[in-house]
Amino acid sequence: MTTVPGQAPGRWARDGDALVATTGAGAVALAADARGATTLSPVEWAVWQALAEPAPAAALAELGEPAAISRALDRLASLGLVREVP
Amino acid sequence: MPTSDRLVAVAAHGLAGSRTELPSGPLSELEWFDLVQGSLAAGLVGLLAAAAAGGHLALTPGQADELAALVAEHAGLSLLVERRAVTASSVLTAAGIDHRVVDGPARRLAYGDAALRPARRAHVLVPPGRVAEAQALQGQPAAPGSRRDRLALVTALPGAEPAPGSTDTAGTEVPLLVRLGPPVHVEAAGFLVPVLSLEQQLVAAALELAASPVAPLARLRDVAQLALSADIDGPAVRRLAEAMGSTTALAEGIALAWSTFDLADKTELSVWAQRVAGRRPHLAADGPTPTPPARRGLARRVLRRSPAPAGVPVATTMFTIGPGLAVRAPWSTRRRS
Repeated sequence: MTTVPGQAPGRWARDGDALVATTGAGAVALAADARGATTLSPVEWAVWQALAEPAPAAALAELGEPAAISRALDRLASLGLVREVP
Repeated sequence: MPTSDRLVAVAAHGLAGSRTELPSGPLSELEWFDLVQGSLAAGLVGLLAAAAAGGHLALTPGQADELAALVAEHAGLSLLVERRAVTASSVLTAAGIDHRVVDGPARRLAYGDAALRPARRAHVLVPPGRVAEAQALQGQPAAPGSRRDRLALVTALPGAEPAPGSTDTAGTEVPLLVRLGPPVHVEAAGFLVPVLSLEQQLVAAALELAASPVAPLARLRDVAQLALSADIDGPAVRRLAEAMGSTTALAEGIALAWSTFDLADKTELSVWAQRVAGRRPHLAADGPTPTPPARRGLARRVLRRSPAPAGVPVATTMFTIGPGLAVRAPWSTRRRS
């Protein structure tokens, strides 16, 4: 997880400047400062959809295994598509 | 089923009331190749993917993989186009230049998503008197095919020539942006982007159809999609078309979309369009009104192959879909040899 060590996990929120398009197999996303779009996996796409409103990671538990959710959040954060908010 | 019928069915996928039919069984590799090439050329790859994802088109695992890669590529490019349009719009807004985004993010109003009807280029309508300033704000002109080429600043809609009545009582020409009326705003990438409303998009699509020597299936789909939109104001569309001097273009565009996609649903606009298009003098002069064909399989009858007209590359076949209207089929190269 990208939570700062020593701090309690916060909530996750979409980056409002990202653009997303759905495809038959999932979705494609373009972060604010990205030079190219990225294909999202089904889990990443589900997480993105669930974060229409900021939510803690625990609220995403129903979307998959905790490890898979954690990986999805990490990748989405590394792409600049979501960020952790207080 | 000919490829042309399949393409029409792909273009009609998801339209309420369309009686076109997608193939029920898996396609052979040759059929699949033709359908993919046709969909790519016609800008229908998003609809093809949606049809497959909805279980309306049986694909082999290999075909599904190929389609997933294609649709991701096109959706990604469409997002880059949207980003470019949003950036340009924010710059124009900051400079106080009135403008409307014609397509790109504007298509989300009707389609809700960029992937269904991906944009290869965004057009932004600006006043003629400020186009030089607007271009300067966008930087140096881009080389064709470059990233900046994804945006075009335009001063007129395709086919929208100044029409009678486009001047005010003092004889001064009314600017196009004024004639079109106010924009609606869509939120994209954190900005509120002024785009053509559903009504304005429908008139613009009909004008482009009327001005095009061939009727692009994707643009026909736009007409049907917009006309069937639950949020569209039919009387407002007709008033706008009248103000733009494009009533005939609007009626013929809607009537053509209804016949091409074999749409069973009747709307106030479609009934009006078929009445207006049907009473045009040149159509009446063609002879007695033909007996309406049975609805099932209509696309197969109206979308028939014909030789390419003069001026079209030899390796291109045209599918005629109505008087003077045709769809180019570049995938047919092998078949003509």
